[in-house]
Amino acid sequence: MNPTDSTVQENAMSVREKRVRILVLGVGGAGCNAADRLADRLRPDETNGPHLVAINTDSHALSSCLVSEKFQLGIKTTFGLGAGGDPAIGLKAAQEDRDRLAELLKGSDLVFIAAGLGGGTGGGASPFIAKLARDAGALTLAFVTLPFEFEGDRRNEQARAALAELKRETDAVVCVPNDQLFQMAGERATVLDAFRMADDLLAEGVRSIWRMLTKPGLINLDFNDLRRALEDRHDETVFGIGEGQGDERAAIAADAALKSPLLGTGQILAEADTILVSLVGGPDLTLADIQSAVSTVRRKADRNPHIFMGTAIDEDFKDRLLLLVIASRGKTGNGSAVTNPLPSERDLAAAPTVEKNATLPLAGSQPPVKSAKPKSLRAIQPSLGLEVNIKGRFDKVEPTIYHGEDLDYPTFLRRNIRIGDPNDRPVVAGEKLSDGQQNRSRSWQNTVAAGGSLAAGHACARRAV
Amino acid sequence: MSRSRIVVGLEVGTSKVCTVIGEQRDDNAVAVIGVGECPSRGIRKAEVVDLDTAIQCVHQSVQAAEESAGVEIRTVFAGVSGSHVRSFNSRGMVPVMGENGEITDADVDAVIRNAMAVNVPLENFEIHTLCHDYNVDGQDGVQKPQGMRAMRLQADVHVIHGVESRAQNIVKCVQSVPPLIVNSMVFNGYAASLAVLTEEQTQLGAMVIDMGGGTTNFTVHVRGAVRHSGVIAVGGDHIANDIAIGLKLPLSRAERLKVEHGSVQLDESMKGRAIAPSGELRIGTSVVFQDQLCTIMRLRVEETLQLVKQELDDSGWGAFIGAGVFLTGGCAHIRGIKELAAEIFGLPVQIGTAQTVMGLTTPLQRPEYAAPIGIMLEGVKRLGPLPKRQSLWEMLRNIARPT
Repeated sequence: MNPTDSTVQENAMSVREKRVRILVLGVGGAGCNAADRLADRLRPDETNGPHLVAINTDSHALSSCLVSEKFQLGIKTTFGLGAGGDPAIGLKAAQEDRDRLAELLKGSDLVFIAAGLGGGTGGGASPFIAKLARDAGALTLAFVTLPFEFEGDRRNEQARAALAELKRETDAVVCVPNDQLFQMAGERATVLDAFRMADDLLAEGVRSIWRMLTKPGLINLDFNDLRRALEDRHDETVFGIGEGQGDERAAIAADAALKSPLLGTGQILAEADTILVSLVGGPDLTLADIQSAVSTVRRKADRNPHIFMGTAIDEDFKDRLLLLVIASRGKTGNGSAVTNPLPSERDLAAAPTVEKNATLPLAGSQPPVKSAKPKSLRAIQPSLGLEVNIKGRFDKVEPTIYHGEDLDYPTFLRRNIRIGDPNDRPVVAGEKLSDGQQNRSRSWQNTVAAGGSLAAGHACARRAV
Repeated sequence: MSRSRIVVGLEVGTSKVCTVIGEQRDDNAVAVIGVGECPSRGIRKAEVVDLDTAIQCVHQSVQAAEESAGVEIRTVFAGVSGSHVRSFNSRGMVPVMGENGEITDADVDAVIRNAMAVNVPLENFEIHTLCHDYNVDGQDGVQKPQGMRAMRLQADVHVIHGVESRAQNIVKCVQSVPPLIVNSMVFNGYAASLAVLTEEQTQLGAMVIDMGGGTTNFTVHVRGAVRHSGVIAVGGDHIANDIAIGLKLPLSRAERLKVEHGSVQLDESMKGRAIAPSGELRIGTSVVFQDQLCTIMRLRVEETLQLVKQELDDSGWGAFIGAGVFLTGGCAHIRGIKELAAEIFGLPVQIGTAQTVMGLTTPLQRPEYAAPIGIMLEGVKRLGPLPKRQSLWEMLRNIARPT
């Protein structure tokens, strides 16, 4: 269980041993920047963390990169001068180095690919690399940015094509348009700040997944759960991170995570059908913390999603709690038809664990169930136990979702305040109310605190290559 | 012969469609000369859900206004709101291109375009682009840069934008009533603040919360400019809906109870007091206790105001609200809301009514008219001052010597 013990390489293949090989690839200019950032954060104590590699066609940019392991792509194609914004060249460069890349990817269980899709290397090479990663049997996640609108139609179209390509080749794509990021970073943020936030966000996302998989926990969430939650989720995958401290840390962290701009201020969460919640806490983590955090997330979800959860204990997290929420929305398109041949082939090739076969049918059968579910079939929150439609007149209009909460449901129901049956002599309302007020003022403080930690680093933007 | 111009503000709201006809006089003073109102149908959360019935409401409202003013109207300014309306602040910068380094109108246009360049999504359109102030070669707080000499011009703007297709539903709804034509759109929240605040209050810092039937619109003014604005799609309808669900009543009855017996301040005397809407027999209907009613209402109103407060605090302007908070819209009539808002915001709270117009004042001094009057006032602003009157002699001279 000790993650610092790296002597027994062979054991790394075993998921039960919690030694999952994570490879983080920064592809192209933007990707390398993100990898840099991650390297920077990991340096002091987590040298045994994810394996970082910067991949670029531009040797000059690559040489200024902080990541120790560098990969010069397509030296014969580009002469180390970059792809010149042409994805065809990026792709050609990657194809040239196919064997070296395959060697690099061999034996990885989880591959993160970070890239900006507007450029040549990021846009051209990353789908190819993703394909190789999947062929090598790894769960492949891409974190990508789309260029700013003002960068022009050509670049945007290029990026969109690359994104479509990438969606076909990876298990999940977290895609963030730079325009949106810039807004989230706040109007006064400098370009540098905004990019740094983006890199931070990616770094934090990778790190928490790594932590979740490697640190011992009260409730295990292992690689297979992650795989099950993310495999073949092309349609929409987003994640949010929140951190809390003090007595109310669970609520604060959950709030911050849900308000994370990447979760579309909660809208996407409400529509998600798979949610993965990962908590990292110190030795003083209580069950109440876990319960509070998970139920906060669950409350925001509207479609009765499948919730995976896990916790990890990290000595550094005394009195602190970090919450990672990954939500994905079922596929709506016909992507499954295209990708179906791939997973089976890939799974056969990889199959690093025994459990894998057991999860396979489930993973395979999930998407069809989801796509068959008509959109109008909304799950009514079961805990409320009301036979009537509890949204009343707002049943058929667009819901008012604000920071992940559907405000169309009556406030007293969301707060779980009993009004009492009008026909019995009801409860003393004064008492009820003061109760409600207390809850509220508390949650209000939380949100203030959460706002702070949100600003601290979870808005984001990244350079296009 | 005194000349004037008719300007019309039309708010297609969730609870009422209100038409305000204003007259811009020779001296550029504005008077309201007619108001028409019709209860809305086919509108939810400030957006059209049933076009045909909404059109009928617009028609009735316009007709009533025309009758009361004795004029016929053609061009109107229409209010827009709804959850799709968003805002952001942005800064633009351009090098000055004018002759001798003097800033021209073209430079000012360019800097504002530059400020908006990044942020507005493709399907959205700008409803308002409000300039805070300019920065001329590092000198902050310039109000009117035209004619100044500089190398570089910066502008801070507040842009309110919305999804074009959704706003177009309102335009379509209004233009389906011949011969009406929509000149342009005005954000209801901004309009309410225009009607309510005096120049001094906008300088001191003020927040206007326009709580209508379907949405709560807010606008923050500090140092004479809009710093933040937005929409939370929760309003009076939600309160009635909560009551209907919580007390298991039909909506119409819930609505009447809200208006007649509702309050957001609870006191001991309400406990166990059975209430019923006026004119309704109590026999056979289930009993409603006032404390239950008011608890439900308070929770909802408190929550909504707290969300607005959070928006204010997140914007960073919370400490600059010197003149306090102004509540407008139908929800401002809720008993005890002023005290509740004061408690939440920790600021002086007033019920806002239109301050800045002449005319039929007394009946218009109601918070729910702030938005439509404001729309009309914004219309006056956009049309600009009346052209200067020319004497017959000047006219002749101009014809003789065309310039």
